[in-house]
Amino acid sequence: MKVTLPGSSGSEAGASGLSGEPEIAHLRAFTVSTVSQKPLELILARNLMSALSTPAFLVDEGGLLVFYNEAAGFLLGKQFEEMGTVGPEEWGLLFGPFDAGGEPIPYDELPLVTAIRSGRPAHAQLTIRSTDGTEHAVEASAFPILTQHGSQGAIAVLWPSEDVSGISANGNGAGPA
Amino acid sequence: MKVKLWGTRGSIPSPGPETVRYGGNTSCVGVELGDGSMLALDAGTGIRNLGLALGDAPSRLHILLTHLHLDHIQGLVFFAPAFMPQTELTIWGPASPEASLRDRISRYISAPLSPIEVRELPCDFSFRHCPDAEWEIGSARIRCAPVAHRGPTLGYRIEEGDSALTYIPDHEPALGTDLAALEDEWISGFELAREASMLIHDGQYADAEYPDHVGWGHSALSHALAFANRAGAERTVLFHHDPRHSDEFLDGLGAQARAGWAELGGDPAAIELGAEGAEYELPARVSSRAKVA
Repeated sequence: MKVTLPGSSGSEAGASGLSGEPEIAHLRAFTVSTVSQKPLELILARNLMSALSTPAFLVDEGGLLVFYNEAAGFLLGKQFEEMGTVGPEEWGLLFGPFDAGGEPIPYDELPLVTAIRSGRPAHAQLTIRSTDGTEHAVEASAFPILTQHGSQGAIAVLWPSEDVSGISANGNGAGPA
Repeated sequence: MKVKLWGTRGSIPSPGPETVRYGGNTSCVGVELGDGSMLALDAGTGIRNLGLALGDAPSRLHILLTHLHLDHIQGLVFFAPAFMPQTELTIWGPASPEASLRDRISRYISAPLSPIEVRELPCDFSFRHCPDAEWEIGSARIRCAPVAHRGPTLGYRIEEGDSALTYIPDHEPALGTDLAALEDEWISGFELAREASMLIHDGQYADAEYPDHVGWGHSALSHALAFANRAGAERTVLFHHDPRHSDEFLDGLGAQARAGWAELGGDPAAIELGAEGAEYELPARVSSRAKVA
């Protein structure tokens, strides 16, 4: 019976990446299929976020906004089901965010991007503009989703800057859009 | 690919007169590949009888562990081939940032829980963390993926020719979400189960029991049906029966499963509750089957 593990084409595949477990002698490479399944950590994060009354955003390891919850939808004036997955450029055009002077915050400086790139939590005060033009001053806390397979993305949670106590359980924690 | 259920029970062995038909042994499924290679999916107490059935012949065996809860590893120290020097045994399982697979299993196969230590096993054994990508054992292609359960837990897909067996015995894909509202890519375990010839899946709870067990890592019947339907499984075997469920109760649950499957547009004969000793042979598929409903 042969055992074949994935590895680089045409070469013997070692046990690298298998945490130092002893090698099986008869290994060789073969083509690896790819699947479109989201990482389990993102799936579980989305499930959790769906149950929160705090606006929350989820991006994948490439920075693509792959989900935001109902509370975030109220804040933005558009639910995720209407929006779908969006890249950072489109996101910026639609909603900002903006700094205190009304200038768009560069993508590289957004807490979510900082969290993904640095693997560290990030926090910032910023303004988000909803689809009806209403601006919301919020504080954004982002943290990376780190797994044994590396970073899988990041989560950002928004809090209203003017009144943290205004977070409610009615699915509209950041105030009406 | 020949498949035999050696243990279908979840949580804890539950032998007794009320469980003789569906069985009381915990999770273990034997898989014989076309080239004669032998796989054991999980090593609950059912693996003891699998080991006895293999006899004394020199053998190479692969045990694929979904996770290390006791009902999935308890049979390891009673697996006769592990005590034969001529056995070549490879144990695959999920990696963990906490400790190696061997070290984690050794917590069970060591004093005071066990009379022997892993190093004392006379067989030629090795422990392997499952790779992220597909690999081969014998004539099969193996793929695994983390699935929604408590702690690091894998599901497996075993493909040989055009047949695919998917094994996800401990799974709560509907935790905190509505499966019907999710895109396929957001459903835990979906790619493993997609159009499988046979899906062996967690069906531990009746729907009425689930509210008291949310987050325990297992599925209600309706969740298992919804998952199998979404995945387009050709045949579904519900597995990991709750230890409180008698044969009589499971008969009723099976009837509910067939009715529920029919409501989804499926063939009631294509879904059943796993019974210890049941054997299947997976035929090569002619074409992909469209999911029902």
